[in-house]
Amino acid sequence: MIKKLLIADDDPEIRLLIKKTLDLSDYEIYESKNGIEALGTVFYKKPDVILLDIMMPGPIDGLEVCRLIKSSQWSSHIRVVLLSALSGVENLKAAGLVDADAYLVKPFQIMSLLETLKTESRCVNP
Amino acid sequence: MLTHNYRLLGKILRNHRYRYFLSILFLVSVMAILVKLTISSLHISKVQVDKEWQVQATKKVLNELERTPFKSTIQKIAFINNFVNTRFEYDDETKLIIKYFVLLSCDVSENQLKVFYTVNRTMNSPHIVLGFFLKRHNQPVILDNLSNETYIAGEKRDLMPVFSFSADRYIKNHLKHS
Repeated sequence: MIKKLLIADDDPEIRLLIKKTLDLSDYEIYESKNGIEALGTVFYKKPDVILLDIMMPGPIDGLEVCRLIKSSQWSSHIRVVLLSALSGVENLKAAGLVDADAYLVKPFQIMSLLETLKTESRCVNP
Repeated sequence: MLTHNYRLLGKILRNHRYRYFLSILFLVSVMAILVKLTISSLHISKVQVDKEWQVQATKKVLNELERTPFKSTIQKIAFINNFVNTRFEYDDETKLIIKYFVLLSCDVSENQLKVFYTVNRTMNSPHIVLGFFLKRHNQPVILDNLSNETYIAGEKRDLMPVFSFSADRYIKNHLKHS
């Protein structure tokens, strides 16, 4: 079954890289470049998995988007993978506090991205 | 070397075939620049028109508000909701933006307004509404584009809330990308 994936990152190069990596996979891919746009895409397209950058410009950052998604009964089942250039304990704690399902530190290996997506996609309810 | 280059350029310019080719190249470049300038000016005027209609729509509602006496703020909010819903034929998002600007012009603070992403239970479709908090911890009054009646959130059984955040954030982002 084709799964919907949202890539929310303000860096167009990261979005393009992930998109190219998943070119031949079974994902229907959506893109957002800030938090509000990401929420709108989640609301209107209801993706199965989200790759969500923590530090995005604008009034809502990745952590807030994740918190809103996970605290709503309507969207709490959506798998959220947080992306960040920071690997500190504080950031991992923050990711845990907003109930993120996985955390990838940038720059990440393509293999680890694919592995994470495979794991998260398995958890998506058919 | 430089003299040689100048001589070569002179030769090329004297040659009729090259002269013809160069003039075509020049014309094409001028046309490309003109097209680019026209497209960017069209984009600018679109943004200006967007701002203009926002101002006009807000003014229209405010003029009507001045002529109408209200017993309470809630009655005024209900009037604004009804007026925008019935007098403007815009999409959900645009009506929400007009209501936001009208309320701000009526001395409502940005902190009193929230955007709610909801699902319409009857149609099972995504729907966006504006919430007005009369007092901080009260339930918001919902300004719904699909309903001319105004209810507080607890009474809006047709809508299931999904996400909510400050309307100010939503509007700023919308205007930035419009």
